[in-house]
Amino acid sequence: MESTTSSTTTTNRPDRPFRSRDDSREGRSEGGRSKGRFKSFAEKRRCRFCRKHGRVTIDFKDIGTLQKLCTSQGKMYSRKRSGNCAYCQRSLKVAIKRARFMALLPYVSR
Amino acid sequence: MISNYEGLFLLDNKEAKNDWDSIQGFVNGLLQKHGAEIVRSNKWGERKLAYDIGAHKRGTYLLAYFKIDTQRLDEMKHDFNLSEKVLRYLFVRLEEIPPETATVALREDEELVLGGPEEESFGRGGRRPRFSSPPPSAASDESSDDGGDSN
Repeated sequence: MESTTSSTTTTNRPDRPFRSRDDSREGRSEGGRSKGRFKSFAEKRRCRFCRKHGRVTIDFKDIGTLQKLCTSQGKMYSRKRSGNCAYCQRSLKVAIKRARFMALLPYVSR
Repeated sequence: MISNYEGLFLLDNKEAKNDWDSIQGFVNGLLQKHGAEIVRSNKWGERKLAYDIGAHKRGTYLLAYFKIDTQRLDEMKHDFNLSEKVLRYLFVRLEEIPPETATVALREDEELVLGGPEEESFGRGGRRPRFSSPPPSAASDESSDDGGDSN
């Protein structure tokens, strides 16, 4: 956010995106260690689902997405691994379990 | 109270292949018998199952969207339980029925390839990959969850 008054020296640097208070809570990495490390911290701090669709329930029929979020053994990835926000991780959990029930995903696999 | 539902049915593959219309009619008939208003009822696809169910290795799915009085849902489930043609069913209550274009397609003949790529975001500011170094002694890594590789 550039300041319109040019008389004062602003501390806002153009390459640091302005962080709104409520947004920064989701999926925040610790200590700002990764500032400027990824393409844009403002983009990366949201999980892959929130970025694309906003807060939406993950469909258990979308096996294409779900199979990427399981290990080769069929286990679910932790939130640390998948990078999801809490809401999406819970939604994902339900989706995977439903898909397993309907034999779209395995419970256990080699 | 009438609610919108999405129902996914896993059907016996042999019967589905022999006579799709009769098995679809059977499912629709059961839905209507309990007062459901069927909005959409289509074959979703046929696929190899992720695991064997009884003797079945492949199955055909039917995806239906309908509205029904919630009180009658349990009776309907009971009827589906008794049927031998319907192997599994799953009803999800929806706020509103999505348009046909929003429905995810079943990828029929694709092999399931599980496992995400290594370079996915680790969610915590891109720390070192999990499996390439021994677990640290510090408290920073509380739960070593998935994989379970104890070196």
